[in-house]
Amino acid sequence: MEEKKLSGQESLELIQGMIQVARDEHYETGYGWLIWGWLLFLASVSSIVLSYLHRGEYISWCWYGILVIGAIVYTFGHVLRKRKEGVQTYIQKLLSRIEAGFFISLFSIIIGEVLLKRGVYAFGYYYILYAFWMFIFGSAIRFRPLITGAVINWVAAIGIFIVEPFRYDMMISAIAVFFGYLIPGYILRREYRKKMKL
Amino acid sequence: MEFKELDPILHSQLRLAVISLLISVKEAEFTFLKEKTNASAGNLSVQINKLKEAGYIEVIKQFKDNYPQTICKILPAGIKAFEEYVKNLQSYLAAGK
Repeated sequence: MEEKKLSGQESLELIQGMIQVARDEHYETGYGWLIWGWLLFLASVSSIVLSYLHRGEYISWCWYGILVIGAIVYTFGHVLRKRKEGVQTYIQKLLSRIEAGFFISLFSIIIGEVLLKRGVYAFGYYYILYAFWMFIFGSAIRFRPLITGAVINWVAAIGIFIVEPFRYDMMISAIAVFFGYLIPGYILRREYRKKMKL
Repeated sequence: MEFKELDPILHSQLRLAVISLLISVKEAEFTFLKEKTNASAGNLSVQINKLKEAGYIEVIKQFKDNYPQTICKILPAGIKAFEEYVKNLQSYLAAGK
C-alpha cells in the first residue's frame, strides 16, 4: 500500500474495505462439529447394538470412551488452529468463552450424574445443553443449519425424557446428532473449503 | 457549519487502514496487518510506531514457538480518535453533497 493523499470518499471506502476484510476473517471449518458429531453418532449406534445384544453393561464405557477421545482430538485441533491464527476477532473470543462454559457445564452434569452415582437420569439434559450451544454459535456466525440443529436437539431432549426404553433414546440421539451436528458440520466444511479455495 | 480538522495521524492511507483493521478485531499480528494492507514490512513498521507514539495502539512483542511475534491492539484513545475521524469525515462528505 503506497502512501498518498486521500480524498474524503477514498478514506471512507478504505475504512469500509478494511472493516469488511476483518469481518471476513472469522471462519468456521466445521471440524469440531464433525468430530463430536461422528463420535456421538457412533456412541448412540453402538449403544443401540449393545442393547439388542443384551450387553448393556458396556454402554457407559462406550460413552466414556467417546468423551475421552473427543476431548483429546478436539483440544489438539483447537491448539493447532490457534497457532495458525494471525488475528483474534471479538466474536472468536466470545465464542471460545461460551464454548469453555459449555464444556464445563457438560462435564459438571456428567460428573454429577455418572461419577457420583446420584441416580439422576440426565441424558436429555446433555441435548438441551448442546442445543443451547448450537443456538448461540449458529446465531453468532449467522448460520441457519446450526440453529435448525439446535431446535432438533431441543425436540430430541424432550423425546428422550418421554420415550422409554433406553435403546429408543439412543435412536433419538443418533437422529439428533445426524441432523443437528453432522449435516451442519459438512455444510460448514464445504463453505470453508470454498472460501479458502481448497 | 464549522468543520474540525481531520486527525493528521489517521489521515494517512496506511495508518487509517491499520486502525480500521484493529477497530474490528480484538488483536492482530503484524503479519496479518502486512498481508491485509499489502504494505512493505518497513513502511508498516514505521506507521505502526507512529500510531503507538500517538497512544492509539499497543504493540506487544513476544515469542511464539521460538519465533518473534508482534501483536497490535487498539487502545481506548485510538477508538475515540477513530470515531471522531469518521464523524468529521461524514460531516465533510455531507457538506459536499
